[in-house]
Amino acid sequence: MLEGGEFAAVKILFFLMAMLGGVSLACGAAPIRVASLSTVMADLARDIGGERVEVVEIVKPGMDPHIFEPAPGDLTTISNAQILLASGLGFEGYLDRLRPSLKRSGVVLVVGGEVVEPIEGACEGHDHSEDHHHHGTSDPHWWQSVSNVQLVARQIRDALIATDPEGQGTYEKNAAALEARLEDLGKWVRLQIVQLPKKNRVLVTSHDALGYFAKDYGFEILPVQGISTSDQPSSQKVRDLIGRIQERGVKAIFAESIENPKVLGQITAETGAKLGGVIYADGLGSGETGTYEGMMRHNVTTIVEALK
Amino acid sequence: MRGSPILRLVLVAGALILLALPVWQLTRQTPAPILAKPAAVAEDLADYRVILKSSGTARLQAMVANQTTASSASGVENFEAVFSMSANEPEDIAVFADFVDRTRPSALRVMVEKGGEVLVEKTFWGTGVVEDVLTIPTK
Repeated sequence: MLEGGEFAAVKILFFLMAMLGGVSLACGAAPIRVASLSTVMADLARDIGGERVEVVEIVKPGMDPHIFEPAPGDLTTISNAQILLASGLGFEGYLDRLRPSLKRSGVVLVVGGEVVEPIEGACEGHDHSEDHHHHGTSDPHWWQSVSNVQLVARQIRDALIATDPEGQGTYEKNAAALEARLEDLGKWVRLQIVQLPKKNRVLVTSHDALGYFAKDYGFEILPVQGISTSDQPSSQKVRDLIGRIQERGVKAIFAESIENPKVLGQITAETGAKLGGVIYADGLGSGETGTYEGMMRHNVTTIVEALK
Repeated sequence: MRGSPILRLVLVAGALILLALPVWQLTRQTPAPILAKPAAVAEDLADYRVILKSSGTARLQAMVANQTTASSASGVENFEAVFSMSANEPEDIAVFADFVDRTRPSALRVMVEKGGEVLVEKTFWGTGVVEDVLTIPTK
């Protein structure tokens, strides 16, 4: 049993500990530092992490990630991070070169492409020996499927919990809310696409980046370029494409946010199809397309309105 | 040798034309090949019966692209609609239930039949409003 004086001392000790705990909470622990090579994954990390994380986008909205190469300053930012987010499936051709330094710096690498089921991607007309053009044969644009994004959101949640176990409750609560919003988004997309007769579900785009979307919603893709924005179509391929567009009676073709739609303009002139608008294939934009949900809603609305 | 200026002009012009001919052949605008459109194939159509059953009284709807939306009166629990669609590649069907009681979890059972054969059956859940899309499997 504690004597009166000892009991008072223990009470003071508890009081001081409680005070210190309160001060620590009031000041806020330093946020988890997350660097991202993917605008989509950055958005997910912000949603799940809330105020407990600080997300730095190495690849920013509007950049062409197919040709992006990290600058020395970016490498410093990455090595100072605790978690690095990357799309994977060959989207970041330089990723394998980063791995040794990430390991040395103790940066946890979270690769979205590792938790989705990849689909084959068209791959033609470019040189794989060039570093920044390198990619595998899988289509790396997995975020064009809402169900893939749900898988990657869970992966990010788990990585944050592993790095910051104290935030587990926050991460689980935020991830559950995000999951519910993604469910609603998936249903909203289905209810929009159902307005399009199946014969109209043909997507002519700058490059082959909507394969996952096409698989989910029964579209046929006719890309001008291959899977990377650096792929160049041969004149024969463009002629074949024009023939297929005329044959299928395609109403509209789509430009992408980060490209010059000049080639598509030439195709519309020869086929009579209209330019259906700009869609975001390689990542987020700004304004209404600055979040994943906003980007998907914009893309789907643009596609449905143009092909109805 | 100095020939007639006219003859020299003709010779030079001829040589220039011969040089320019291959370039013109390569760069001239050629009309896009006109592909023969396949002869219009009479599409094989079939009637698809869509049967909706709700867990409570609701207004029920079924919708197919480019066809009139079929709607029940409000306050029903069963509704049927028939859509004529391709026998080989039917359209997806959007279904909708607006429940009178908007506070309780509700369910909408959807069944699609063709020629008496059940093609697909699915239940959707929600609170107040239930809406989703049903895809008919193709063989």
